[in-house]
Amino acid sequence: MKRSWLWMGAVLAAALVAVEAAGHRRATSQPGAPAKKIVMPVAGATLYRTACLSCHGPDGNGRALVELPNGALAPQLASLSEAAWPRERLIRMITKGDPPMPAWGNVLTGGQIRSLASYVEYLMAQHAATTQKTPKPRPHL
Amino acid sequence: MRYSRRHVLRTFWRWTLWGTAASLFPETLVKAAARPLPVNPFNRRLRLAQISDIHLGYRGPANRDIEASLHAVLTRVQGWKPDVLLVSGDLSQGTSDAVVRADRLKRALAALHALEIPIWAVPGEQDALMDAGRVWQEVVGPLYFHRTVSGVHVIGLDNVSRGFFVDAAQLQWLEREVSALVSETPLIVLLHAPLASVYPPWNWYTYNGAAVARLLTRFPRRLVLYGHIHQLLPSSVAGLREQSCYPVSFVYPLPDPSEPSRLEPWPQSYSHPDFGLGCRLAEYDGTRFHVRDVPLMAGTTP
Repeated sequence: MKRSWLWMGAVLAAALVAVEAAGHRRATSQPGAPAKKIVMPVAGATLYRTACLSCHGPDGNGRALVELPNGALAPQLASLSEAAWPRERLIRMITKGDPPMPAWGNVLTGGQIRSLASYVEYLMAQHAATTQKTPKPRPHL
Repeated sequence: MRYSRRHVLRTFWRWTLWGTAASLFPETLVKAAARPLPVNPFNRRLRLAQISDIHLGYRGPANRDIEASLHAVLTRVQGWKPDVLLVSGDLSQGTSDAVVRADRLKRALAALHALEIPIWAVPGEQDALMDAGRVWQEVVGPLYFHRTVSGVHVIGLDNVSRGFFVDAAQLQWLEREVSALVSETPLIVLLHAPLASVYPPWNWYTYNGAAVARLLTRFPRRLVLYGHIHQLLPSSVAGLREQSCYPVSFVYPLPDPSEPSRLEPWPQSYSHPDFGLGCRLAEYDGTRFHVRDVPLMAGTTP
């Protein structure tokens, strides 16, 4: 009797782990792509708050606290697509800039720029996971 | 002419003392008479006026008539008869159109040149961030500079055209410029954004402000003047105190760090349209600077 309880517990635990893993995979990856773990790069996040938050908004959500000089808003970083913005392009943009985007290579080290790029990638992955999780609204009949 | 007893006695003793001294130390007295008087280059106080954040071209509720505000400020400045006018950036309201930007900068300069004194200006992000300062250099001049007036050195820095920092080339230039100066040199540093991290979520900072400040702290006779935050708010970084200036155009609120919000200017008052606007007079008397912040609205001295 005791042994059957143990077996049932083990099966239940395995089932829970499987469900959780499946959900995580759905949330973080494109169909067919291998699962990717989302870990927040702390150094990049700290740097982002000082250097980027004012124009790109908290969490790269585009809700800027400051308008650009022409009255427009800076791009929403979280919604950039991984395909259009691979890591090399992100690093190039942060380093060289493109007015009014500052050329941060003037004052940041290579390591700092890479950590910023990692944080932007994290924001993009988070955003992708959230939008995939959110069910599409059903058409109003 | 009648002489009092006191006058006669004072004259007698004065001549007696001088006579005795001349007979005892003749060479010393001759040398003292021949020595030229110490030259004070600041017999007249050197006067510098500062204005900031004109935002010419702005249309909106924060200032219904920028030209009128500029005229009022320049009238006040003209009354001081300053030697130089310092402008700490944002002469124009930002735009994507380079032609419009150039036109706004030209109009702002034309208004300032009516004072018929030298105008020394640094760019604000509204003037220079959209094109990394290309139009500014064509219309106004260099993005950063080092000039002197009656022995006072004025260094203008650009901490906005490529982002809110002083880039590596400019930092090296600054290091070279100040290394050639003795510590007693009276120095004014003019910038748009504060060197200190006053409030980075609103871009009220210079990313590497501390590195700039460290080059300037050895000058005890110094002023660090900036604009950008549209209000008087003293700040300091690495032991360097700096002073913001009243704006010409409109007023920003104080940030609330507990609840980051979007930066929006205050709507201009109908009853007190000049509220929060003004300019600054800085004087150098040969030993130290005297600074006076002058609001346009009477009765609102800080």
